[in-house]
Amino acid sequence: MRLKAACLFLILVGSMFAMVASAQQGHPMTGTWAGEWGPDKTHRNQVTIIMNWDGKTISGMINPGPDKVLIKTATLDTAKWMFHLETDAKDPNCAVQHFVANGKLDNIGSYNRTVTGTYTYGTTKGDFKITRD
Amino acid sequence: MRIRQSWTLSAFAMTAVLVPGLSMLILGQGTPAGPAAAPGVPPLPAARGAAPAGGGGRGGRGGGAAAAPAAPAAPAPRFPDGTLRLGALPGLTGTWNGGGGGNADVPYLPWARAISNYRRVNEFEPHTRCKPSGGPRQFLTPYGVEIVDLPELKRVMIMDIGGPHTFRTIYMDGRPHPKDLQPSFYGHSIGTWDKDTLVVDTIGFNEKFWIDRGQAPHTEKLHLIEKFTRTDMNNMTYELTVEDPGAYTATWSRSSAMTFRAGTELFEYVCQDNNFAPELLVGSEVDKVDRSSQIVP
Repeated sequence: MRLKAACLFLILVGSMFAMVASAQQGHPMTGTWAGEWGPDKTHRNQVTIIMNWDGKTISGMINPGPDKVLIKTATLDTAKWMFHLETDAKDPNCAVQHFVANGKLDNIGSYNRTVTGTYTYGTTKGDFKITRD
Repeated sequence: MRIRQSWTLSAFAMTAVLVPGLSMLILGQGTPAGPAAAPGVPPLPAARGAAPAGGGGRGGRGGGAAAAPAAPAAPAPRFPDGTLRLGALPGLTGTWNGGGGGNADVPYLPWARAISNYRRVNEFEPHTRCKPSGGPRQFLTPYGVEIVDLPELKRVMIMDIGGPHTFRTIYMDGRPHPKDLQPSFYGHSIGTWDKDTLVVDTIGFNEKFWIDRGQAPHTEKLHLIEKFTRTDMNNMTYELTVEDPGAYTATWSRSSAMTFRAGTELFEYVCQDNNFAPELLVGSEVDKVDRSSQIVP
């Protein structure tokens, strides 16, 4: 029950951020991105990423809410439209693991552009796809 | 019939918007524009002085009759206090066209240059999807804009004709920009007169539009300074300074000309959001649609 309530709260908070950030179009990575990731096809998790461009760096957070994870490094190689993200996050055992994701930005001219790629989280590897809201 | 005519105009507008865009794509960059070179603007009739030909026909499309011989332009009109008028004289009509120009020397940040290049190949401009477009893009429609002086309200209004048929307000009452602006398509504009030049300072833009036809991206940090100087009845210089540290390494400027079309005025222009297939609509010139039925797409 508590878990359901927590999930509902996270969804509501995430939706609020999504509504606020949906007005931003300038930098390709700016905005709210939603999608899923996981180590294989049967183990998937939803993810929400909010990013902002201040003219020099991309900043933001993963899964906004009480357990949000702040992005440490995010870059976009505009020559190849490759996105790179790094941060540290606690695993279920509360051990901090390094997270690295690399993906290709597609459908760039659309509000609903996508990033598709792979990630490593500690020793775990997986893939992801996120779509800009 | 009115609807058909409207969509014929819409189709013409789309063509007028897209073809010059393609030309710019092929040619690489736009060219510094006088009125004749302004992208998206159909050939202008010759200047007709202050008096509107035919009393300003409804619709104000400026076509049909052959252009009259050019006459020397009258001086720029003024209010009794000496302030320049940017709009038409009382009882008359007129619209402004032009305001284009190339973006050859824009100091892009790398991401912005990449986006600009991408847009040149992948045209997906919000304006052609009926979104309002602020800054200089407001002037780059086939039918131009109408500028309305409202000194009693201390405002100047710039009314769109093409696109979403919207307007922009320039506050002339000395107010500052609000501190908690909600980003919008036209931003918040305040204006002051510097002798015979209207200087307009605008911030508070959202990022949902292109600021011009040159595919230049921007961010919410965009700050524009526009200078409007009406040099005579039919001509105005438009100077633009763009500041956006989110997209450019430095401020950049350009200047272009706008021409007054006496006798033209706003008309109803319907642009439907999410209209992805205007070529299928009644009134289009496409022959591929089967119109044998009374019910057509």
